[in-house]
Order: sequence, then C-alpha cells, then structure tokens
Amino acid sequence: MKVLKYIWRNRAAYLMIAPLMIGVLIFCYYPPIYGFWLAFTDKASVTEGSFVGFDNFKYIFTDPIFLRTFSTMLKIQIPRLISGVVVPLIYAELVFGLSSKKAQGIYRVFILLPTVAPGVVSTLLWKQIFQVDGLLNALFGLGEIDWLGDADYVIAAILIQGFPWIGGSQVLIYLAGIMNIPRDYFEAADLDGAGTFRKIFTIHIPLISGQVRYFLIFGIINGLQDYGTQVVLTQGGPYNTTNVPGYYMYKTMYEHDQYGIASAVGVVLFVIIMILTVITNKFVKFGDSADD
Amino acid sequence: MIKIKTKMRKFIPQFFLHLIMIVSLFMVLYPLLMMIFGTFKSGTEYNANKWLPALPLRITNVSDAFVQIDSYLWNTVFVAVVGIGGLIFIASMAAFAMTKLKFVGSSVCFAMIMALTMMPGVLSMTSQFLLYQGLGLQNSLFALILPMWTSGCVFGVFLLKGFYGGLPNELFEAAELDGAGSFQKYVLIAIPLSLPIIATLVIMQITNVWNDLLWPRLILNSENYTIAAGLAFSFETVSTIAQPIKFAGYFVASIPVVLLFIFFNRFYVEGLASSGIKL
Repeated sequence: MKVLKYIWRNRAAYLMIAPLMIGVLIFCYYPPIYGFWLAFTDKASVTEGSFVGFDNFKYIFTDPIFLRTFSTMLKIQIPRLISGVVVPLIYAELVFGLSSKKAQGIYRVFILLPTVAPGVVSTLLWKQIFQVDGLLNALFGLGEIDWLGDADYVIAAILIQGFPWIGGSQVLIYLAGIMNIPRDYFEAADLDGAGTFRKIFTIHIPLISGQVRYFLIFGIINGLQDYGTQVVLTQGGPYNTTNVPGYYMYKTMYEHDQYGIASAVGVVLFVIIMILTVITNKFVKFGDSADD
Repeated sequence: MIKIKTKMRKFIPQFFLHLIMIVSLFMVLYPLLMMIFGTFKSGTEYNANKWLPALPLRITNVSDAFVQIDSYLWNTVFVAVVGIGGLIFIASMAAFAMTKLKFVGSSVCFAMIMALTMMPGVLSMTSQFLLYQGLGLQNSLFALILPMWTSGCVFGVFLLKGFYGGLPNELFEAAELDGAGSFQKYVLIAIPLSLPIIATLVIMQITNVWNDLLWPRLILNSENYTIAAGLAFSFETVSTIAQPIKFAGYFVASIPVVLLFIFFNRFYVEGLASSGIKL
C-alpha cells in the first residue's frame, strides 16, 4: 500500500521514464536472453525450436567453413585495427603541427567530409576502383587483376579499401585530446629541449591513452562483428575466402533460416568479445593517463 | 642572414605538412570526385574516359537515377522523422526525470541504460528478427522505427542526462513556486535550454538512419528498403542500369547528408566532442 502511494505521489516521474524503460526491457534486455536460449534449440523456419543441448555448437565447430572464418577475420581485422588506431593519430599530429589556425580549421572540415557521405556509397565506389578495368589496375599498370574475384587478391583489396584510412571522426577526437593538453606541459618540455617527436611520444601519447584504449576496445568489438564489406562487396567469396563469423551468422539466418545455429554463432562471438574487452581494459594502460 | 635561416627552418616542415595533408585528402576525396565526374557522363563517354571529368554535362542522369531510388529516399525520410521525433521525446523526458525529479529507482534505471552500451549486438540478431516478426512488423517501416525508440535512445539519454545535470536546480525551483508541474518544467524549461544538444543528437541520428544497411535488409522486402540498403541490394544489382546512372544514384543519395553537414558542421563537431566525454 505504502509503495503504491509512493508511486502515485511520484507518478509524473514514473510516467516520464516509463516509455524508455518498458521499451528497453522488451527490445534491448529480452532479445539477448532469448538469443542465448535459441542457441540451444533447433529453431528454424519450419521447426518450432525444441531444446537440443549443444548440438548447434557441435555443428558449427565441426564445420570447416565456420572454423576458417576466424583466421579470415584475423587477417582482415588485425591490420584494420592497427591502421584504425595509428593512422588517425598520425593525421591528428600532422594537423596539430600546422602553425596556421585557419589551415587547421579547413583541414578539419575536409577530413570529416568523406565520412559524412553514406558508407555504402564509399564501398560501392571502391568496387569500381577494384574492377578489372578499374582505377587501381590502370593507375599502377597491374594488368588484369580481378581484385574482388580472385581468391589471392580479395583480402588485399578489402584492406586497401579506404586508403589512406584517415578516419575523420577518430582524427578529430585525437586532435581534441591533444589540444586539451595544458600548455605548461609543453613549456616544461621546451625547457628540457625536447624535439617534436619526443614531445609526441612522451607527452601526447600518454595523455591521450584514454582515446587510444577507446579506439582499441571499440575497434575489437566492432571488428569481431563486422561484415558490412562482405555483404556489399564479396558475399564472403570467392570460395569463402572472405567469409567471417559475422557473415556466416548472417547467411545462416538470412539464406537458410537456421535461427538456432545462427544464435550459437552469436553466443560464441559474444563470449569472445567479452573476454577480449576485459583483457584489453585490464592490460592496455599507458603511463599516467589523465583519466585513470 | 640568420633570420632567413630560422624562417626557412620553420617554413620547410610546414610546407611538407601541407603537402602531405593535401595529397592525403585528395586521395580520400577522390572516390567522391570520381562519383561526381561519373554522374554527368554519357555511357560512351564513361567507357572512353572513366576517371577524369568530361564535358558536356549530362544532367538527365540525375533525374534518371532519382526515379529509381526516390521511394528509398522517402522511406528513409519517413523513418528519420518519425523515429528521431520519438527518440528525442522519449530520451529527453527520461533524462530529465532521472536528473531533476527525485524518485526511488532513478539510479537503477540509469545504470540499466548505461549497461546497454557495453552489450554487443551479435547475441540479439536472430532473436530480434524473430521478435519483430512475431509482432507482425516484418516488412513494416516500424521495424526500423521501434529500435530507434528503444536502443537508439541509449546514447541520447547519456548525452542529455549529462546536460540536464549541469543545469542549476534553482531554475526549476523557481518554476515550481510559480506552480509548474513536472511536465511543464520539462516542456517549458528543459527542452528549450537543451535545443542545441538535441540538434546534435538529431544530426547524429540522421546519419545513422542514412547508413543503416543490414537490419533493413533482414526485416524488409526490397520495395521498403531505406536508402543505404536500397542502393546496395537493389539499385546496384540491376545490370541494365548504366554505370553513370549508378554514379548519379550514389550522388543523389549523398547530397542530403552532405548538405546537412555543410550547413550544420558545428553540430557534427559537437557530436564528436560529446562522444569524447566518456573517454
């Protein structure tokens, strides 16, 4: 009774959070639980889904195609992770190094501009660049390489895509971090006679380690789940050479309606992501970052 | 003499910095330039000259492409308006209640929302599909709108809660003395003050809707696709469409978001800065 009275007295507050909380419970908290359960059922378009224990996991871990998706993922995501963390930092330093504030402003706008156009447009444009009669072959006189159709070249093509991988938002986030470093740090370094590179390694990088860690963790989380390129460019081919776990899951569900098996892949990826997140959080710490 | 030397010593590195930036930005922007060049070429012109601009400009390509993708654009606009409208309403109301109204459970609710930012989506792909299917929303644009009203609110709540938390309580106490209820305080004080941050949220969400690719393909039939899925899975796969018209399609699809960026550049940068808060 007392509880109800309390709720009634604060009804305005409860009414105001109700739409969010009810929606979140149904559409954000229920699906992962249901997804976890599905992984242990034979749910498919034709079956209701009865409990089958670890059958789905046995199935995927004996499927050579699925097992190979992991090494493919590493081949694609490790270079992407490194370039995604390092290259934006280099460009942030380049922009920071400019003495003209006006030029800095202009470059910042142009760095962000390509990320504004829809990502799928960029992928489709790169598809043209990779054609046999495309720009890449023409520019470097590479003859008739079928970048997206040849199993020997397709991973290289996926990695080249987006060169030089500036990553507009990451550059600006790094840049904001560097610009927030108090001036006295640099004055002290100047007194010590530190050069530009020493300043970068001893002042900038330790003080923006929060950003580095953020990009690492989200790079890993997103990289493990990513299959956008596969869906648009390669369909996992040729001969499954670009198939990654996320795309395997997507295909199992979208083309074969095997919800139980797809959910099992989801559970496997979820566990890997959780473990890697904890490890990265624990071990990737640099110096005396301002935020720890 | 010495003066010139020190000047040169500063000038040369600066010159190389500019050179590297200009060359890199040209490479990054070139695919978009290639798209613009291609948009205005005829089929024969494109086959002869793929990579450089050419005259005369064939403007009809743009209208030819537009009629192929206009339904995707209208779907996107519908999802954006209804989805973002609801998102802003739900997220701002909840964020306001959590910061400026005192009630039992508000911190638990906020923790529940924040926990979702660490939740990878892989675990829910199949179940979400079956859930929306079970609700009869397969092939309905509301299957794109409901996620915005729920999981889409998470970042908005985070952002707005930070902002409302910074507003002085006296502002609201004064309104209370004048007899304003909770809803009035929210509508008359909190919303008007947070308009800039709401604008940032709106811009970020428009970009998300415009880029949404995988979920529309799972849950919708091709005629109901939004723009990114429509381009990649429908427009692109029609082999009878000549390449310049495809470029024109990409061009038409990019124009609204690029214009948005040009006019509201400030809010983009603010959005980035705000996502940097949590670093």
